[in-house]
Amino acid sequence: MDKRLYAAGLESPAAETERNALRPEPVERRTESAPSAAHGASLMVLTGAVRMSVTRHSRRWVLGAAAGLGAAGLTGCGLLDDEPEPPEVPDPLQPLLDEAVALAASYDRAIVSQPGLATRLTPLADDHRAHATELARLIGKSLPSTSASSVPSAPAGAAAETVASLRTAEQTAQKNAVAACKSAPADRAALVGSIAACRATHAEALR
Amino acid sequence: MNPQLGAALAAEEAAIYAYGVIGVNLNSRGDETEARMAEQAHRVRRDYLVARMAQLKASAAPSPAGYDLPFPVTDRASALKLAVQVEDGVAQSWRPVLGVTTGADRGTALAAMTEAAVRATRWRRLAEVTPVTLPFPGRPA
Repeated sequence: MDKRLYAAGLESPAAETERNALRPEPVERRTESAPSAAHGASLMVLTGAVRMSVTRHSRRWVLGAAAGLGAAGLTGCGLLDDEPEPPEVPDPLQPLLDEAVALAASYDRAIVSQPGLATRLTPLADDHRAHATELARLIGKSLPSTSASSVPSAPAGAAAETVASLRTAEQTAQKNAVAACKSAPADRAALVGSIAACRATHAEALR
Repeated sequence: MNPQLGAALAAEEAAIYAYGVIGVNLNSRGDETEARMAEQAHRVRRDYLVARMAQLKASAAPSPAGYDLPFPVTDRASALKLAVQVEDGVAQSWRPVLGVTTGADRGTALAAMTEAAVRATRWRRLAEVTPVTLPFPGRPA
């Protein structure tokens, strides 16, 4: 009996109906004080009404879940309707542009500290500047102007060391450009591919 | 993608032919090794293209039996000059493949273009042409 009552706790109207089954006026009794299970369920959905007092835990859970849904719904609306677009999503090629500018600057520094390498390094620096110009045009940005005079000069090392470190930088930059080419949309693949190939030829030229 | 692959195939076949002419006009062991390796690389790319186009059921124009050389090749200097021109041309033929492929196919096209550009740089250095690099390998001059 105890067990049956406990199990019926979640649906006491049914249990009550069952208990009342032998009584002469079950229909009247049901409408009077015990709404049908279906009626109870619709109340729960709409308002989380009194009927749930039998199952406090569930009610709390239901209300919490409803509140959570409401909050999620509001947040969703906020993202879609209210907040303006983030001001500037960086172009996927921005890192490639930054890298081209940085490489040109490292060549400029190397030339300042090793004037003897100027003939060999200047054309390579110019290539990077050409890449930066093209990428900036494609992205729709103006290029920050840097000149060799504004570039802090690196400590003078041996020419061979300078060349070796530039070569390493070119190899890394080439890998980055290859990755950028592989993920680029069709209309950018050729330009980015040429930049990747150029960086590879630089590494070769510095051997 | 098929017309672009077809153009790359035509360039690779022309390169294989050209290296036959280049090879006989070189006279140092270093130059000859360089030319042999380059020719072998072009054969590998040619085979890749033939196989890929067969997969795609694309028909390729038959390769001509001979080619008109852009200038007479009679000595090392003109052989090196032709080698530079051939590699630049191969790079140019692969570049349009990049925009019509994705994934591994694009990766292969980029590798082929890059290797041709690197060989062009090596030939320029051997020919003492400066600068040894182009800013945009594969872009038609």
